[in-house]
Amino acid sequence: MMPQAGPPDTSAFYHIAYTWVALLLVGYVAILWVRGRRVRALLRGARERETRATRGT
Amino acid sequence: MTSLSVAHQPRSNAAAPATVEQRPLFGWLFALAVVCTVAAYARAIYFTPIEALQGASQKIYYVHVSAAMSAYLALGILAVLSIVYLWIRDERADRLAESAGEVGLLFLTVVLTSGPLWGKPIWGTWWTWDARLTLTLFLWFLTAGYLVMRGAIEDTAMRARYSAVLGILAALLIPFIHLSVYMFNTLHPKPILLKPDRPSMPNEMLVTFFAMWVAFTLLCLALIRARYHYAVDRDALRALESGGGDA
Repeated sequence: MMPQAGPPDTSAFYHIAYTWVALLLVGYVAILWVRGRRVRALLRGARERETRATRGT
Repeated sequence: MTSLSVAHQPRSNAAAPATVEQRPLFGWLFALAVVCTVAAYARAIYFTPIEALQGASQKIYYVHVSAAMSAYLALGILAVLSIVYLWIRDERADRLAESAGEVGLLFLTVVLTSGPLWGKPIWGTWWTWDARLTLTLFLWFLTAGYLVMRGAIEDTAMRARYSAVLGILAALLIPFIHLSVYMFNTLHPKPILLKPDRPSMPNEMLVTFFAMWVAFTLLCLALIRARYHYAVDRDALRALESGGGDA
């Protein structure tokens, strides 16, 4: 009697793909978060400078 | 004549000074999208059967196709908002189109990198220059070019106008990409879901696919929203730095 052949072992590709996709998405979110924080810090500083300049005049 | 020239000046909505910084970059929609994505990942990994012929690599289908649909959604939004910008010249439309373009590029990158990881064990090759793969790669280059071009043009109105035209032209590729498997002799399989008759997939796998599709759609919209908030802050900063002028 022939042994029943199961599905081929292609799990390495699937593990790499799921890990890679998760890394891409998390990486983008992290980069966007850093960019957002930096711009907000600069915006806050610029507003404070503007407020001081307005009070000074 | 006066009204015409006024109509063609971009409307600036960059500064809503008191409230911009208080708005969270990632809001409730992003939190919901993360929960849904984690749940869809868990379902795909632990609760979805392994396909008999392809083995576990078939599970790449769930992220690959969902990412492709999210990329189409983002680039569709880019095209619609580009048309809106060319029509009413509202900077918010341009900013939202830019955000959709960046998120669209992210999902296209997911598609173009997860596809070869599925193709290698099933087709025996990482890449083949067939119509769908090549057109998707073209779309990636066009979208990347769209974003690079935006960074290279200083003048706000000119940048918005040129990029709107390029954005519309890029999105025109989407129907050709979808129909390429019918129009050309290709190694890429025909659609399993987006076709006139019933989906050719067991229910357990179908539920996993829909879970991933909903999760990626929410993630796509949440990321566009977050990227738009970033763009609003950036333009407000530019407006302040240039002495309250056009952002």
